[in-house]
Amino acid sequence: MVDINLVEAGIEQILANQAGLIAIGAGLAVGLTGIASALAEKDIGAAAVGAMAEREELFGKGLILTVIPETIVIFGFVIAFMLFGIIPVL
Amino acid sequence: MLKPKKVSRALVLGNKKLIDQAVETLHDLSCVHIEDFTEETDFLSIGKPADVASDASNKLIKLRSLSNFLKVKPKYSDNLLNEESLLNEFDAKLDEMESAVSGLLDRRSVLESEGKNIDTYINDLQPLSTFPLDVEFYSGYKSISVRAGYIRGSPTEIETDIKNITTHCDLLFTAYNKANVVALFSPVEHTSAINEILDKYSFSELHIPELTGEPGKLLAGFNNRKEDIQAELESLENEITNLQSKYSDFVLASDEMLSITTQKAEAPLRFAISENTFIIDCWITDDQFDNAVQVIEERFNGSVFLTKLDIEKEEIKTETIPVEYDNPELVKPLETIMNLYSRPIYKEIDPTAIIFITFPLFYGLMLGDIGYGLVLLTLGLIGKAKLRSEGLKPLATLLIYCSISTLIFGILFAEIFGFHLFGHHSVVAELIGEHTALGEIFYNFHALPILDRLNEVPTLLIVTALIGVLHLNLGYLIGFRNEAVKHGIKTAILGKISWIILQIGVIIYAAASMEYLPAYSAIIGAAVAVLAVVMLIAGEGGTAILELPSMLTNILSYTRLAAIGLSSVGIALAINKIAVETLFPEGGLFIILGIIVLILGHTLNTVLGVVAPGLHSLRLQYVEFFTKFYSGGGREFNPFGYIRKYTEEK
Repeated sequence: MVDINLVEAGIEQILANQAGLIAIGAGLAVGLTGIASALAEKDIGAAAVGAMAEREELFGKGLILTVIPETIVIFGFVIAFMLFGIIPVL
Repeated sequence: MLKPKKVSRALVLGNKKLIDQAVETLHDLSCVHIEDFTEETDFLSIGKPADVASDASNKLIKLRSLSNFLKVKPKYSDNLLNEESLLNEFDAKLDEMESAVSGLLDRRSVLESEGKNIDTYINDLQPLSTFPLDVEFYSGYKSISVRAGYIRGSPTEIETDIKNITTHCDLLFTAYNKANVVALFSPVEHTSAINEILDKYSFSELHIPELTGEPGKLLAGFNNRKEDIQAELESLENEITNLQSKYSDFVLASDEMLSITTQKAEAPLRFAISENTFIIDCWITDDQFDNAVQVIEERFNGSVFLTKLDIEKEEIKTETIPVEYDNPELVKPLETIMNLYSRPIYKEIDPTAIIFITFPLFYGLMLGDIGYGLVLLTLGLIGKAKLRSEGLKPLATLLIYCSISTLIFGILFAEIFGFHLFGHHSVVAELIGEHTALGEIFYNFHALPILDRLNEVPTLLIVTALIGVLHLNLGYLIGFRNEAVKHGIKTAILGKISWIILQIGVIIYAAASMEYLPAYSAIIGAAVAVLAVVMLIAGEGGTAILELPSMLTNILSYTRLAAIGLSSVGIALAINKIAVETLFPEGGLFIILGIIVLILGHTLNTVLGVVAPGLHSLRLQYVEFFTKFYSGGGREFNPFGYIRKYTEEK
C-alpha cells in the first residue's frame, strides 16, 4: 500500500527543493556577473586613473570607459529575473 | 538646432598700414575664427608682431611671477576696473607691489637658508652631544688624529683591536639612534693601521662643525633660534596673505588687460603679409557675416575688405571646419555632455537637442521618486544661484532638468523616499490615520502608481527594452542621414537601414513562433532577416556578422533602466524597514536611532541616486546611441576676442 499523504509530502519537498535551486541559480547569476564586472572594471579604472594623472581632462572619458563592463552584471540581473519568472511559488 | 551653426570661409584683406586697426576691429567684433598662416611663399610671409608685444609680454611675465608668489587665484568679481585708469596707474602700482613683494621674498629666503644651516648643525651635533667634550677639541692637533663617526659592531671589540696597536689612545663611545658612535683620539703615526681597523667596522665619518662650546648648550641655542625662525616665517606668511588680498583685484585685472594687449599685438603672427597688404584667413558664422561686413565698411571705408569663399568649391575637408553649436538657451547645458565625448563635425547631426530629452528621461525613469526629486531640485536651484564657474553652472542646470524628470516619474510610480504614496500602504494614510478625511483620500486612491516597480518587474523590463529599441532605431535613422550626406544613399541604406530591416524580420519570426501570426509568416520573417544580413555584408563586409549579436546586447543593456531603479528603490525600502518596522516599535532611544538611520540612509541613497543614474544615462547615450551614428572630433569655433571678467573698456 502506498500512503497518499507521504507521496504528496514527497512531491511538495521536491517542488520546494527546485524552488531553492532556482533561487541559488538566480543568486549565482547576479553574484558571478558582479564579480566579472568588477574584474573588468578594475583594470580599466586603473588605466583611466593613470591616464588622468597625465591629462586631467580625460576624467570624463575615463569614467565612461570604466562603467562600460557594467553591462555584464545587467545581463546577470535579467537572467535572474527570468529564472524567478518561471517559478510559480515565488 | 540639430545642426551646427553655418559657417563660411572668409578672407579679410587690406592695406598693410591699417593692420593694427583691422586687428582692433576684428577683436571688437569677436566673431571670426582665425586660421594660422603657415606656408610662406615668395610673395607672402608671416606677419610681425606689433611693437607693444614684447613690452606687454615682459610686464605680463613679471606680473604673473608676482601673482604666483602671492598665490592669487581667479575668482568671480562684481567690481569691474576701468581699463584706462588701470593703464594709467599700472606701472606705479606694479613697482609698488614688486618692492613690497621683493622685500618679503628676500627676508623669506634669508630665513629659510638660516633654517637650513641650523638644521645641518643640529644634525651634526646631536650624535656628539653625549660626549663630555667641547666641539673645538675635536680638531686642531699636530700629533693626534681625531676620528669621530658611526660604526657597526660592538665598541668594546674595536677597543681591544686598537689596544693591540697602541695603548696611547682614547676611545669614547655612545649609542645614538640605534647605531654606535665613537670618537677616537690616537697618535698620528698609527693613522693608517687604525684606519684599517675602522674600515673593518664599516666606519662612517661624522662632519664636525667649526664651532666652539659644549654641544648640549649649542644645541639648545640652535633649537631656540629654529623656533624663532618658524615664528618669523609664519608672520611673513601673514604679510603675504595681506598683500594678496590688497593686490588680487589689481593683479587679476591687469593680467586680463595685458593678455588682451598681447593677444592683439601678436595676432599678425597668424596673418599673411605681402609687400603692401595683409590677408587674414578665417571662418565666420553666416549670421554674423552681414554685420561684420557693415562694421568693416563703416570703419575703413573700402580700404579693408571682408569676403566669403564657397566651402564646396574650395574642397575643404569637413573635419577641419570649426564647429559652433547652434542650440536654444534651454538646450545649451547639454553641450557639456557633448564636449565630454567629442564635438560633432560640421556636416553631421548635432544630437544635443535629442539628449536634452533622452538624458533626463532615462535619469528620471531610473530614480523616479518624489522625495529624491525634490532634494535634487533644491540642490540644483541652489547650485544655479551660487555657482559662478562656467564649467559647473551647466551641470547645476542639468541637475534641475533631471530632477524635474525624476519628479514626474516619481508621481507616476507614486513613490516618496521609497514609501508608497497612495493605496493600502500609503505612507500619508499611515502617518495621519487612514480614517481621517485626507488619509482616506490617499488610502482609496488607486489611479497611481501606473506601475508598481518592485512587484511588476517583468513589465518594467519589457518596457525598458522597448525604450531601447526605439532609442537605437532613432540612432540608426540619424546614422542613415549622416551616412547619406557623407558617402551617398546606397552605403547609408546598406549600413544603417539593414539593421532596422533585421529587427523587423526577427519581430515577424518571433510573432509567428508565438502564434500571433499565421505559421507561414515565420518563413517570411526569416527571409527578411537573411536579406538584412546579406545587405549588411554587402555594405560593411564579412565582419558585420560578428556584430550581429551586438543588437541583442544593446537592447538588453537598456534593462539597466529598470535595474538601477530597482536597486535605488531596494535601498530606500531597506532603510525604511530598518527604521520604521525594527527600531520605532522599540520606543525611547530607538526612535532617535531610527531617525538617524533614516536621515543617513536617505542621504547616502541620494548621493548614489545622483551618481548611478547619471552615469548610466550617460553611458546609454555614449555607448549604445552614439555608436550608431556619431563620429565627432570637430574643432571648436574659437572666435578671435576675449571675454572680459575683471575689466571694462572706457
